[in-house]
Amino acid sequence: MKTQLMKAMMTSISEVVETMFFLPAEQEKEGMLLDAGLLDQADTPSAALAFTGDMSGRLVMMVPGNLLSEMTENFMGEPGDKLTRELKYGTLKELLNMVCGNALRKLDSGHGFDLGIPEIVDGETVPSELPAAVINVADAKIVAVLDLQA
Amino acid sequence: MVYSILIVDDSLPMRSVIKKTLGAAGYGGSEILEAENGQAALEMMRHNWVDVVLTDYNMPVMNGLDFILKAKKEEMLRDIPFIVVSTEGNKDRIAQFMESGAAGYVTKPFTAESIRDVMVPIIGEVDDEDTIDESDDDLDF
Repeated sequence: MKTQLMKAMMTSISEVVETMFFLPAEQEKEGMLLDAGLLDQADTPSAALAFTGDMSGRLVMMVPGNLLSEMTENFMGEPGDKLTRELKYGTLKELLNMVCGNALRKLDSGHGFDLGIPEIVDGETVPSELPAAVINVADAKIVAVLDLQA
Repeated sequence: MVYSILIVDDSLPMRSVIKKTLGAAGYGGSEILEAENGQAALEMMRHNWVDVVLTDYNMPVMNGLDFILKAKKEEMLRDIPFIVVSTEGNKDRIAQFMESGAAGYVTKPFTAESIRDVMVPIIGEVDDEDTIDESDDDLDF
């Protein structure tokens, strides 16, 4: 089911990015966070969302700053010079919320999942050996990290 | 017909997107009120005319379900229709919303069409000149 969840997350990222942010998204690969190539980038805001249900854990999403700015412009329909860091972080949290909820619905066995409230986290604290999916969006990469409870 | 629509969501970007989507769905001429949680929304509803409420579920201070249940206990507010706009899409949760008195449910991510499909049976048709323009890419989501 872990593999199914990762595939559902990748599909969900593509659907949400294309529907709500009007950007083409292409699934690149699955692997470990270590291999995703984002850990050494300074400006990569990250957010985490906990979920409980048939499986419990958290999803972490990392989006390079330039791409997050473009996504926030598209999402809110506001020019870039009006977008504060708070609005960009809010957009990242909404992206994560929609991706996670959309993916878990695809796997819902009828018992349902409960979602927490998204929060901004320090991406450097996310263990680098966790499974991660990479999605190519507008010449940049979004990374989704799945941190399941044992 | 001009409506007064209350959007309840703790996320400012999401409130902006819902507002933009309402415009694309034909409700652009409406008065839009905003609140960031159920408690703030209740207070706003006690002092403003509201035709319909679009509320998120997962919010700090007071979530969408508690918000609906509390509003339904107040005589002045109980007849106002509530539409839940949320990522929480499992059947049990949706049933819980409807049993609490919600009139409709929209799953995130959403489109102008999905918002309109739920809104029209609840508050009525929009004016012809305001209906969805499929040719406008900026509004067609």
